[in-house]
Amino acid sequence: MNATLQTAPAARPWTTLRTVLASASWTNLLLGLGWLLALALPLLGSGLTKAFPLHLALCACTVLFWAMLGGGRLIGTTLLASRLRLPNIAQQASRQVAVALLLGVMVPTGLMAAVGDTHVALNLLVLLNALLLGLAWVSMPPWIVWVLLPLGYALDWLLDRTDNAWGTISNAPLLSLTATATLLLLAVAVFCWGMRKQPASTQWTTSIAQLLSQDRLSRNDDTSAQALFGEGTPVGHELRRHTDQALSIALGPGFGRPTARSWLRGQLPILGVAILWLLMNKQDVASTALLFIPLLVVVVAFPPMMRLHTLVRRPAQGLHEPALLPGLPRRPAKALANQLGRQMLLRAAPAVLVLAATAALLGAGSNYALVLLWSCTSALLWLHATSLFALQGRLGRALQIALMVVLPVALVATALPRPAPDWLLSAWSIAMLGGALASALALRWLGRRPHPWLQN
Amino acid sequence: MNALTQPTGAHALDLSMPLQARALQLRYGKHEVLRDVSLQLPRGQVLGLIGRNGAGKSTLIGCLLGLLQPQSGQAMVMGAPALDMDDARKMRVAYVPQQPQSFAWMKIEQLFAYLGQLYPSWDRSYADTLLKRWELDPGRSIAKLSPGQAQRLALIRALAPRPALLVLDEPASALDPIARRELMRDIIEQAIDNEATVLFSSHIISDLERVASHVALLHRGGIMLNQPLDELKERIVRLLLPAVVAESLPPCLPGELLRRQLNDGTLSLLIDKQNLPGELLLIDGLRVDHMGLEDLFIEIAE
Amino acid sequence: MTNFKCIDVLIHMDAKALHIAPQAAEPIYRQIAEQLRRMISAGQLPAGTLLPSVREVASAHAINPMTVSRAYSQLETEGLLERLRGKGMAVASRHSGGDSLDQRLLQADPLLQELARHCMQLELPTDRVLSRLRQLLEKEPT
Repeated sequence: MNATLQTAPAARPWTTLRTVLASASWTNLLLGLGWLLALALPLLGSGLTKAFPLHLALCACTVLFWAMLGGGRLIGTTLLASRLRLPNIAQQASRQVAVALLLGVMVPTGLMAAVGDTHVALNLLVLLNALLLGLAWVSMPPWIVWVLLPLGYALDWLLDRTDNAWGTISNAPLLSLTATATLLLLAVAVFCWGMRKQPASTQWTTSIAQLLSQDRLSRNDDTSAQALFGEGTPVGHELRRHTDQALSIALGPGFGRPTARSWLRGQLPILGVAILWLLMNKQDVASTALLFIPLLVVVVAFPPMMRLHTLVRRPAQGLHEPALLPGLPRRPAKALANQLGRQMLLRAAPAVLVLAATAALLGAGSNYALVLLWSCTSALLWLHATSLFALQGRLGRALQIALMVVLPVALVATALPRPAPDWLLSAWSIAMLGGALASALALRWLGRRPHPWLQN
Repeated sequence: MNALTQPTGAHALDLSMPLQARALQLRYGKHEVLRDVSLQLPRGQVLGLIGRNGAGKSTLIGCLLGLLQPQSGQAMVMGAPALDMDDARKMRVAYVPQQPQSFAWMKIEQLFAYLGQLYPSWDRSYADTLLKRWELDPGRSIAKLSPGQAQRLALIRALAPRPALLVLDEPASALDPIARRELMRDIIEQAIDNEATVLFSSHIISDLERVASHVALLHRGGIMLNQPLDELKERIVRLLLPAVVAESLPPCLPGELLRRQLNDGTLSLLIDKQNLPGELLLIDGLRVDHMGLEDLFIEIAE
Repeated sequence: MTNFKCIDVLIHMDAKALHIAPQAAEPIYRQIAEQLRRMISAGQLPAGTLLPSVREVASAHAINPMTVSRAYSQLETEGLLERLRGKGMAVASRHSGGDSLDQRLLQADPLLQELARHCMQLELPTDRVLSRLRQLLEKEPT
């Protein structure tokens, strides 16, 4: 048996399939769900008769997420392989693309055709777009998002100005629209890869795929993105008396000693988004805005929860610090719960005010503000409780994940523009009470452990 | 002495026994990492903890300091349970983890300003001296330090409050030989000046042989050896017995640590010299080797 | 001779004059004790020479000071060293002239045994070994 480097082992088709499936890990379930929906919904009669192909849309969504995770990892490993000068990279990559197209585009289209959906070309193109969008998303350096958003709105506004341009565009057959979109997305992805900075430096200039290839996404260099209290946390001189401040500094970004300047800095993105919405004085912008305002309020309060989550998943980032530093509050569980609650409140309260005002200016209904307050408070209470539970063990983390899925749906559904049912407010009140109870339970449970910073 | 330095709670501060562990048992899921581990570290000792990768050294250190909760057994720090340390003990304990990543969002001088307020015994001038000696710029952001610099910073941070107990997890792994020698020197100076007790785990056995007064070997979840280093070197010898004798030996001699058959049939026997039966020495073709710590470790842990 | 620094009237021994091999099978305190014994026997350290403090030796060689003090205590009990109040350890005055020939031979004996064992393992003829040894011993010390 002589070693000939050129001889690749006989191509095993299942290898590529297994690689693609392995890189997509849990999103495979999502893809499977998408296939199911593509098959089932038309059979249940919802897809074909209505004007809006729901099954296509949902399937496309699942393909999008599948492409984001799987595609990102595959691109990342290909990058790594090219850096390591491994052989047969192009061959492997093309095989992986073929399998991805098969699973993400061909199979769903085939399934849909099997149940009677005859717009094969449209389905193909939409699914292809979803795949490409996912790939483009993980190829983009994150700073592009800040550019795309106003760019999108600017384009929209421009098209409004140009007489009837929007009308012309919306009249063009859907097929050619999606074909154009495909080409655009391809161009974006290629552009991003061409432009990437080689030794990827900060978080804002490295695409997700690059991070995955360097395994940096898991190591969490999130100090810049999430430090709403930025670099240079002011330490102050009073820590011996204010032990709770000492604790927040020990916990890290997301917590930290609040000063007026850092607090204002944290509120800037919200103000920016509000101003942007107010400037775009259009109906559909307003309705989208109203839909997402509750979610935005809750997202603003995320950094302290993310920090706790990071500390638990990566204890080396400093979980032992609050355990071993002297001069911290005597009852750590209670202090932690207080700090967490205080941080979430400090961030969410002004956001509620600003966004409620924005909503009123955008023409929201009279009790929108009340519903907003109720839903956000309950959401925050529940999030507070699950953060504390998640400090130990898989049950807590599972609860957290479940909440992360349920909450956005609930919040968006609440803000849907339709006459609010009578039970909405009471439902949220019950949820609020439940949240408060859960928080109290979490505190009691946490207090019974020796200390909250255990690593197992 | 203000409230910070007085022990609170029911346990009196016992400075004579900084670390103690009794029958620690720790499991991660089904995998048993620590199996009935007991340890005692009296004041003034410098204990070197050696063991293979994955033997559980970091886990043991975590248990000893109350960062991990064992399924059974108890770890005590200065007379109180490690899981329930009060401030009087925390200010006397310094811990350097394996790959220090804490406080990455701060600058060095901010970190020292912060820690200086928390530790009553923080020696500012000593910290500054060490910073200068190890060439760390106080205005530097901690996230931008290289791994070697981060390790040095963590060490300075641990040494500055002049702790009574210093616990180091692989403290010198990212340091160059000169920095390692200086680190050992600084540890020794602390040990002399403050009668500090030191526990450190290391792969670099030569450092241990310089500085440690006692050595403990963690192997397969249990402590196999825990003896003064000098005794270990003097008493444990390796006997090489020819193959013909190997068969006629009793299965376990007193003081025997392990026996192994080499490729050519010779029997390699690690045994404590004290209880050596006299007849063994009269065997024809016997060879007696004294061993350095590294050889000993390799023999046992292979 | 770089072993000495003349400060005041007392002679101090330099800590660096000791050679310590931490990885050797022999414990460090024994190495120190052996070297000091040899130096005293050969008369290299006259009576009254001040030895470096425990801290100095520990710092110079980055070793545990307890090891050094153990070596010093051992030599003190053997009578080779004595503690001078306020100044530290010094070579005891009784051994000013160095040891007798027999005592010094006894010190070199372990090395000679080791040499003999090596030569027997290598099956070297005795006369060749002796002539080489004579060569080395009659060479001028560098």
